Amino acid sequence: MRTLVELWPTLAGMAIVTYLTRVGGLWIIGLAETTPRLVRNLQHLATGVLTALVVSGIRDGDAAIGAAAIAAAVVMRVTGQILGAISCAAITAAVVRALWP
Amino acid sequence: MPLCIFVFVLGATFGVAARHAGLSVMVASLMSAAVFAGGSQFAALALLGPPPAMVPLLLGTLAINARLLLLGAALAPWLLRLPVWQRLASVTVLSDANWAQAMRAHADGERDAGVLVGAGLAMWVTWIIGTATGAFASQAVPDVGRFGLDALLVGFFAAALTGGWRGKTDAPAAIGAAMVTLVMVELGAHDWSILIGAVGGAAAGAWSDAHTR
Repeated sequence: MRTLVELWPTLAGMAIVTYLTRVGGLWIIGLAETTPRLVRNLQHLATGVLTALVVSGIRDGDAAIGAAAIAAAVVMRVTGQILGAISCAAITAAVVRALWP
Repeated sequence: MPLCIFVFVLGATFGVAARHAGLSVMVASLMSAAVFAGGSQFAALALLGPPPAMVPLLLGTLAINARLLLLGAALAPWLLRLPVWQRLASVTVLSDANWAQAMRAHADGERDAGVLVGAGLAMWVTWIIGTATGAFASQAVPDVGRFGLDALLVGFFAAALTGGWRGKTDAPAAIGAAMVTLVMVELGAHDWSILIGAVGGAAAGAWSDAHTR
């Protein structure tokens, strides 16, 4: 079990970085205009992060994890419901493992 | 409020995933209380080690939460009229949903930043309770793989990616990120693969923007 003694620097670091992103927007507006180009590049960064996480998760996982990722993407595409998509990912992984143990 | 139900269930999902990553109920709940940003918390679970890969983890947190900079910037004309301490306090619970709500209220003539803070606090408390509930309940499930609970993480990322997908403008960033990530993993730089992959994807997206106009 991972405890606070081991992980408090990680938690504190994440909290500080996240707070800086929350408060930083109020200041960058004073330093520079938020140009459409900056907005586009931040959106590309978000796409890049999520893709990298999906790819690395699938690569580290078994076939059930890959099937789960596809199920989540399809359900999200069709219904737009993120909780439904995540639930279907878990169900898909469970079913794949039950059928091909 | 339907929003709080959503926050609770997503919080519970994070709690289950955090337990699967070996975090105690208390550490998982504390992370939700201190960070209160779902995407980066899910991503952190992938980099917690042991030992935690601190630099990629914190840079990844910055990259994922960079969108909060834009939300804050959009609120600036409103919040900059407040005293400094109220500005600093009112953004502590800034997140996507209460931002969208507050911007709508502002457009309707609301000038009290309390609408942002009130909804934010409700979501923050719900997020912590959800995490604790999920983490606690998953202790009763010894074999997470059998119930597919270890697929919650990749399921969350795949759904978030699909939900934000804007069509072919996003394709270069996604393809670039996927390729760079796989190359980095093959080279053995596993902890850095996500961050470098993301930056590679963003660069591919920016390059494509510059060459398609």
